[in-house]
Amino acid sequence: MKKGSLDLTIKAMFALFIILFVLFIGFSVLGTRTDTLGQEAEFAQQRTEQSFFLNLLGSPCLSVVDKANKSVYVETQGFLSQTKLDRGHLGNEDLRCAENYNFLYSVKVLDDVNGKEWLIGIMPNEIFGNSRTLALPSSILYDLRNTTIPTTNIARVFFTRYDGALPRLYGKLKEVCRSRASDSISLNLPLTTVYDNESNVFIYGNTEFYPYFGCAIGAFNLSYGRHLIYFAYSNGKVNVN
Amino acid sequence: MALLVLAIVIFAILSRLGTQGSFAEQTGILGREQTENYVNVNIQTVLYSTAKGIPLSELIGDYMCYGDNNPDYGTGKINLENEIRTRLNNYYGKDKWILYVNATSTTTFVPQIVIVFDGSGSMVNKDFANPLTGLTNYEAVYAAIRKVSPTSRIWLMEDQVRFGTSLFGERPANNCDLSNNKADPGMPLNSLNPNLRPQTDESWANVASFVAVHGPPLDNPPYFNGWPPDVPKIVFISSDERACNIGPTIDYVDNAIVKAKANGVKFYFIVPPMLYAEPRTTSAPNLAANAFVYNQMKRLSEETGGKAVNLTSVAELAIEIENAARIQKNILREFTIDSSSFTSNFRTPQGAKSVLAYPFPLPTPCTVDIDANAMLFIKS
Repeated sequence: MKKGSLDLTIKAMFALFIILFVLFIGFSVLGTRTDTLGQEAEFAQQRTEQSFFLNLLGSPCLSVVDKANKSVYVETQGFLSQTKLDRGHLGNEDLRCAENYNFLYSVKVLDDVNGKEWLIGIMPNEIFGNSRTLALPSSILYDLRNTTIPTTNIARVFFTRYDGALPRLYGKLKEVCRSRASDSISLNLPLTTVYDNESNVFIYGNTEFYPYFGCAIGAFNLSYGRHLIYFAYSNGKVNVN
Repeated sequence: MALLVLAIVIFAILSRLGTQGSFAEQTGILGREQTENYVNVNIQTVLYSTAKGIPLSELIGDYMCYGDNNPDYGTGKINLENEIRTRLNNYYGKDKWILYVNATSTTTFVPQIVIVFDGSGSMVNKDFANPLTGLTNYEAVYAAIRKVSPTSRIWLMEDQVRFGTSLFGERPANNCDLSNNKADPGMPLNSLNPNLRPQTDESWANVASFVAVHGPPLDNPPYFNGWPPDVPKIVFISSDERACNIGPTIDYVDNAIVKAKANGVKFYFIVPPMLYAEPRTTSAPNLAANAFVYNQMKRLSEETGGKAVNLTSVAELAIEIENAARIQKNILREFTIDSSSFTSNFRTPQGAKSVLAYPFPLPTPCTVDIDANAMLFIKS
């Protein structure tokens, strides 16, 4: 090989190397940026969950109501009412006083003194999607009518949230109800999902729970698999197509 | 070209490192936020929890107010330390927390006060003409002081150690040095009548003057050591005679006023119901002499910012003493508790890599205004 053509070959190889190297670095930086955005979204999601959990602990569903002044009643965050816990125990019903569009959740309350346990909201089930559990301390005020000694025990509340296809579908339905604006999402449902509006039961595979919507929802039946779902809002009702 | 490649590589590495650093930082922030939320909810709710029907907040409050850490509300004793430990060990784990509580209350009380008293017969003996329902003047003043400042003492002007001896190179406090050549008008000098001689146990103006300068008398040498910061600069005086019995009352009073003013001291004169200012030709009071002495007692008091107080009853004198000498004082009660110890002072958490501190207010059920604060330290 002549010396001139050898130089050309070396230069061409070097140029190719540089191009490949720059591409590699470019993708690496891009990947880093994507990671960062993903992490930020994850942190934001965790903060949302924390914040929602705190709100839930101060909601009328669980907490003792106190009279702040003549006309205003407020709940004390984390000061739970045994009466309300008994009422909601094993109800398998989405809580109407703490709505969330991003995830499904269930709540377990454990009395640290006597070991009593309550399951509030929908029953915990890993089938709903990826789960994460948070715990916060609380106290339970017992309404013991036949005793003169008021009792408040220390307790812990475990909040388990689920995200995934079903929570997204369910959250979007609730959101459309509240926003009164039609919307659509693309979903890959791992299980058949049915809503029976006559008995107000949401069925996901073999699991079911009682949902809470802020408006009427038309019955629907979505088989498992990928769907482009359209939520049509009209006259106070959402129809799923 | 090589430099460009090097720059790109460095940028990529730094970018990657920056992302990892940011992730670690965000994780740390989120962890702290979660811990803070946990503690915030905990300190709100744990105070509601009860022991034998009594909320923990009330147990802590009662201790801060009354100092009882083992109270009984009628359902058996409740151990405050155990109740706190059970709860916080449950939430944070053994040896992972320290709770510090303090409360400051403002209370009004009469501290140590200074009383110099004429110990002559008419002041300490029964006098059937005295309207103080069978009490001597001394007994009435003593009883009034016991009501408002039980630890205060009455110092008699005849006290030879403190007032009858030369201290600090000065004349004895109860001297009557001017009496023999400058007695009050109308007082016969060097009288053979013992009632008309100078009497150091009635040298109230000079003794008051000495105390104004040197502070309250003490039990032990040097017997005077200035005015302590917690003793109000007030001298209560009581006598039923002229200063030194025969005067010169005006001169002595003038001198005492100057000394009191120079030292920021107020005189309060406790004026007995019966005055026996000499000279008397009978056992009946000399009204003109009494009026003169009373005016000097009043002048001595009022010109120093004090008051002449008529001794009419124990209760009324007690009120007057309280009004004159009461002070406000902040009282601090505090304790620190952790999994194994309870101390009545502030302790810092030890043996932890990092400590998070959460301050919060506490309700206290005291009858007096009291502000209680707590600080929960969580060790990690």
